[in-house]
Amino acid sequence: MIAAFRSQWVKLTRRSFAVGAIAPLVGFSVAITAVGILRVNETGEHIGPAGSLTLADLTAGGGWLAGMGAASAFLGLISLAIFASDIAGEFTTGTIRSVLVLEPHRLRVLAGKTACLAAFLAGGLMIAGLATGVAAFVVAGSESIDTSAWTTTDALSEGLSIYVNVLMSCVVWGVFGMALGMITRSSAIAIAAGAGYFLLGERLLLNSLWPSTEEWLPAGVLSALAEGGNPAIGYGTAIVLAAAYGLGAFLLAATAFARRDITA
Amino acid sequence: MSAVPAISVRGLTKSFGAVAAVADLSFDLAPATVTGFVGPNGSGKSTTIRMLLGLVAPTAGTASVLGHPISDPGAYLSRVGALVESPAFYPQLTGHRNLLALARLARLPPARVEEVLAVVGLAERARERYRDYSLGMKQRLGIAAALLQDPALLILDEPTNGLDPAGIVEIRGLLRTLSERGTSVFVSSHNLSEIQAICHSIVLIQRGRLLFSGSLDALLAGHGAVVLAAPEHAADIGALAALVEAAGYPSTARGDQLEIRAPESWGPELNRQAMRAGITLRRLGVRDASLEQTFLDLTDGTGGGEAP
Repeated sequence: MIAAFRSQWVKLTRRSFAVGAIAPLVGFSVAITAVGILRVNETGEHIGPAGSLTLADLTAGGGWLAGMGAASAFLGLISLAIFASDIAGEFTTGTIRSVLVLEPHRLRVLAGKTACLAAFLAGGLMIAGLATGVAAFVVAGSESIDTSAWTTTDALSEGLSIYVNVLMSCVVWGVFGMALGMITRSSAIAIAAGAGYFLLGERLLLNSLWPSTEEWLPAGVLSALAEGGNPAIGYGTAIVLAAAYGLGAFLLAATAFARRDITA
Repeated sequence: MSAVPAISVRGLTKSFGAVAAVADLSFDLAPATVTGFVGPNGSGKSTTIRMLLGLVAPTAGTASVLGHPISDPGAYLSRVGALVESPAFYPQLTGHRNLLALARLARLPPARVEEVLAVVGLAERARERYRDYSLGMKQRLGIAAALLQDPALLILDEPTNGLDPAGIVEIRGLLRTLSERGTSVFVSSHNLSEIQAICHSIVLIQRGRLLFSGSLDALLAGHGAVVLAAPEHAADIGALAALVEAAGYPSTARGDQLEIRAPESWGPELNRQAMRAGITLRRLGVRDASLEQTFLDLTDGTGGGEAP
C-alpha cells in the first residue's frame, strides 16, 4: 500500500494536475466566502446552493473559515471529480495494466491510491483554507464585520475543526467518485452521475419518493458533517453515517476492481 | 538450465460471453529461450498474455509462470517484465517520471530508472513529456518499463512496433543478450521475419486455438520447405509435374520451373526419377522456408493483417 501511495504521489504532484485540481478548491472556497460575507452583511444570513452562512457563524472564533464550510458541497464535488478522473483515467489510458503487472494485489493498489488522493486533498484544502482565511479578513474588514474573535486563541482550533470536518466530508465525496470511476471507467460519466445525484437526485428523492429519509441520504449527511452537525443531523450521527457510506463505497470499488478483467 | 518451464499452459480457455477468445490452449515455454507468439488479428494472443499476467481470469484451464500458478500472480510477477499491447503511460508526465512511478510501485531504487533508460537509448530524452514522444520513443519507454525488475521472464507484445530499422536491430540484440543471460523471452509480433530472426521456438494460434508449438526449425521443415526443379526443356514441365504428383507431393508451375512442397531430402530422389523418365533437370534446388509462407499456409491465408 505504501508503494502504491508513493507511486501515485509522483502522478498527483505533477504541476499541471496539482494546479488544475487545487485551483478550483481555492476558487470556490474564496468566492463563496466573499459572496457569503457580503450577503450576510446585507441580510444577516446567506443561504446559497452550497450551504448557509449566518452572522453568528462569521463573528465566531472560526468565522474566518466559516465560508469554507458553506462551500463544502462544491468542494465535495471537486473532490469527487478528482478521485473519479484519477481512477477512470487509469482505464482510459490503459496504465492500469502497467500498474497491476507491477503490483498485482489490487486491494493494495486501491488502498494506496485512496490514501494518496486523500493526502493530496488534505494539502489542497489546506491551501484553500489559508486563501479563504486571507480573503475573509480582507472582505470582512471592508464590510465592518466584527472579526475580533478571529484573533483569539480559540480561532485557530475552531478553524482547524472546520477544516477537519470539510476534509472528512470531501474524502467521502472523493471515495464516492472513486467508486463511480471504477464502475463506469469514464471520468465524464462518473462525474456527471455523481454531480447529478448530489445536486438534483437526492433533492428529488426527498421531495417525492422518500421525504422521511432526510437524515440518512448521503448528500445531507456529508453537508451535516462539513458543518459540524446541523438541526437535522447531529455531528456524531453524521460522522458514523459518513464513515459507513465511505466504507461502503470503498468496498464497492474494491469488489468491482478485484473481479474485473483488465481489458483496457 | 532449470527444468521448470518459464510458461506452462494447459487447456487455457477464456470466453467473453458466447465468444471464445482462447480455447483449450496448451503449450510450454522453455527457460532461457526466445519464443515467438504468432497468430492473425483477433486470434487471442493478447488475451492469453493478459491471463498469464493475472489481468484477465481464465474461464477454464490452468497455467503457470516461472513455476507458479497464474491464480497467484503475486508469487511471480516481481520476476516478470511485460509490455502488453501498445505502451501505456501518463501523457503529461515525462518518460523519467513515468518510470519513477512504476519503480516506486515495484519498490525499486530510482537509480534503476536511469539504468533502463540507458539500455533502451532514451536517457537523453527522458525529461520530455511522454505525450511529445514519437511512436518509437514510446515503444522504447514501454520496453524500459518491462526491464525495470530485471526480469527472469520478459513478455513483449509487438516490441518493435514503430521502431526505425536501427531501433529494431537494437531491440533484436537486446533480446538475444537477455536470452543469453538466462532470461526467457515470449514475444508476439506481426513482423514474421523479425520472429524468424530472433526466436528459437514459436507458438502459433488461430481463433484462440493452438496450431503449432515447438522449435522454429521443426515448423519450417514440416511446412515451409520448397524444392525447385526446372527441366532443361520447358516442354517437359508437364511430365515433370505428373511425376511429382505420382510421388505424392503437390507442385505449382511458376514460369519454367516447378515449386514442389516436399522435404529437401527428396531432391536427389526427384533427380533420379526425372532421369529415368528421360527428363534432364537444368536446375534443382531448395528455397529456404519462410515463416510468412508457413504462417499463411497454416492460417488459411488469414494471417499477416495490420497490427491490432
